[in-house]
Amino acid sequence: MRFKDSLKFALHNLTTRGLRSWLTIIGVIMGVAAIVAIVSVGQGMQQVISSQLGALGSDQVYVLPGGSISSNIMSGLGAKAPGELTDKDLKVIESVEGVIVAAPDIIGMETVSFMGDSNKFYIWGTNEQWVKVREASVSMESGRFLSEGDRGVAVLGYEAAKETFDKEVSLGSQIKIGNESYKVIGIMNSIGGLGGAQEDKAVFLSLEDAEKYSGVFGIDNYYAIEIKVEQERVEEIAEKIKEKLMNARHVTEDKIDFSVYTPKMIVSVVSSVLTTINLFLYGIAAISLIVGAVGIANTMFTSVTERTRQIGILKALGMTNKDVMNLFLVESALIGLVGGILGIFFGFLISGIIGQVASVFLASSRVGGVSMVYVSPELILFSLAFSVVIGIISGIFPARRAASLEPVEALRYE
Amino acid sequence: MKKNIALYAENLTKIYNLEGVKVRALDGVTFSIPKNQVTAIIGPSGSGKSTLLHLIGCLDKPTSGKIYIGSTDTSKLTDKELAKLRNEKIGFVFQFFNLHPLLTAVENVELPETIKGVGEEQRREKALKLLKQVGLEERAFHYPNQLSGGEQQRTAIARALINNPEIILADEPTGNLDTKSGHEIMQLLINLKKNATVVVVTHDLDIARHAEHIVRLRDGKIEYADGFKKKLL
Ligand SMILES: Nc1ncnc2c1ncn2[C@@H]1O[C@H](COP(=O)(O)OP(=O)(O)OP(=O)(O)O)[C@@H](O)[C@H]1O
Ligand SMILES: [Mg+2]
Repeated sequence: MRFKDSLKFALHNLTTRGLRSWLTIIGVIMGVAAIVAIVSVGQGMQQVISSQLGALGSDQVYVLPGGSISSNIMSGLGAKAPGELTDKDLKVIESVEGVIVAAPDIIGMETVSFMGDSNKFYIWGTNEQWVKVREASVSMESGRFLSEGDRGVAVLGYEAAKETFDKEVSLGSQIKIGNESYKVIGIMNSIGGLGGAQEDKAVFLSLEDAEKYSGVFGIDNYYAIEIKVEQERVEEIAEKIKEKLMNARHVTEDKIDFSVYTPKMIVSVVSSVLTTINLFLYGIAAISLIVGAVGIANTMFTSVTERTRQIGILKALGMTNKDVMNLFLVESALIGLVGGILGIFFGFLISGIIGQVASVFLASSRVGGVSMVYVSPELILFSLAFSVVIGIISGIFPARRAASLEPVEALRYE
Repeated sequence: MKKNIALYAENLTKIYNLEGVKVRALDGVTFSIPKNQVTAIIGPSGSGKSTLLHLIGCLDKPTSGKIYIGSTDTSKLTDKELAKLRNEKIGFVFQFFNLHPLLTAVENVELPETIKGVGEEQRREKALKLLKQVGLEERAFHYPNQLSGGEQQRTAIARALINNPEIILADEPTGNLDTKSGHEIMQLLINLKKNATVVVVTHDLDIARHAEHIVRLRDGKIEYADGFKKKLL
């Protein structure tokens, strides 16, 4: 029998069973959609995080409010962590031996408009020390960075100035943040990194100006304090910072309300959190795929029983066991393929929705120029191949059952 | 083996094992079927006629004994070779029509060729020609449930003929039809068979009159087998 004819037969059988075929296919769709959505969000997340980590210097230490990773993550999402970081803490940190320079950060999100064109931007409030902390990676393309006492002026990241608005923002232009005007006094060079750094997309203001756009954060509640320390003793100095801050804030180790991170720690914490989340999500996706596969097997078994007589006719007319088997395998592979194609489509849709929801919470789904959701061509190919394979595997047993029917028994079957 | 013998069965025994109860459906049956003639297998209900036809059509295997088709010992063939044999040398017509319900009349007629791997254009042309010969050219694209019993049986005859088989096996081909259509079907089968051997199972002696040769079964044994049918009827 020609493959073309097997395909025609299989299609015929699928369409005849209409609703039941679709119900089976829906099982596959859910599994594949789950995988596509989870993997694309996972990959997007990985890209966002690696781009953010890429911007970290190896001689930097971060102090964040809140004593646990979860509170740090929550504060990253804009929630208030217990225990504020203020100028007092900054002073304590500056006094630690080995600390070279420290700068406060407050971060918010606001619409910035320039010559009638508007975009959402990170609003990054800090002070003149920041460029010193970031000395290794940050330099000015034109103009200057913020100085002490600056008000009503803004420094733009490279992408923010050159690649976001219809027209390039030049030095001395006026931009509008919310309802207020700011004069552009400096434009930074691109920091780059994998997927671009969030600094490149940010607008830098003085702490006092940025406070208007930064929600719970402000001059009495920093988002973070960035510290440049002596490169050879990062871990040791980080430990000293922690001790001094604990003393100054009168907290003990078990009631600690702030966290000190070195780049090394951040990478390991983030990747272990990501791995756990991914494992959990992949587990769920795998279960839904297995359910889809069981659905295919079930439909195919039912279909073998229902078609016993037809199989008898085909065998009486000379169809070989192999051809009978192929007939059923092609059919289950088709279920897998159709389920796979639609599953990828819905997976796209779901990850798009996740991206949208994330953008509502984070005010932008493109964090630092990297999409939160990333659907790779490899993922599409893999999902398609995988769903066809799942279809074939779940069709094997029913197909073997069909092939092993004795022609005469199949003909007798009523 | 003699040249004018299409099929030879030697000491065929078929025992069905139904939940421990053994049914001896055929018991040491030996006979031959002459080439290019019409042979009727007759006998009372339950005498083993269908069982015998299924065995010589290679749809089932005997418990013991041998079947030669031409000079081929079918007990030596693999399942795959048996399938090829059914596909190329045998045409089947059954009592309950046995058309594939999801295929149109013409697709049903084509089926043996489709299974063989013949291209669509070639087999379609052949099938349409055969449908014309059985008077169904206008029903070619109807599905079995849109055809009358007689029309379904004529479709099945066209299907049995498409591979130019050496042997056509029919199990009660007229059993579900009225007397008039029954005779029409038999006449059609005989007119179109060309150089084929036809074996018809029937319990209708009137139908058996179309045959040149008779095999009569009773309780799984041959009661009578020879060419002088007039003596029997
Ligand atoms: N699959 C089977 N399992 C068990 N017994 C069977 C099976 N098929 C047939 N038999 C028995 O074998 C015997 C012969 O059956 P067969 O169908 O060959 O008779 P038949 O001559 O064709 O009868 P009819 O004229 O009613 O069609 C019967 O007793 C029947 O009950
Ligand atoms: Mg019978």
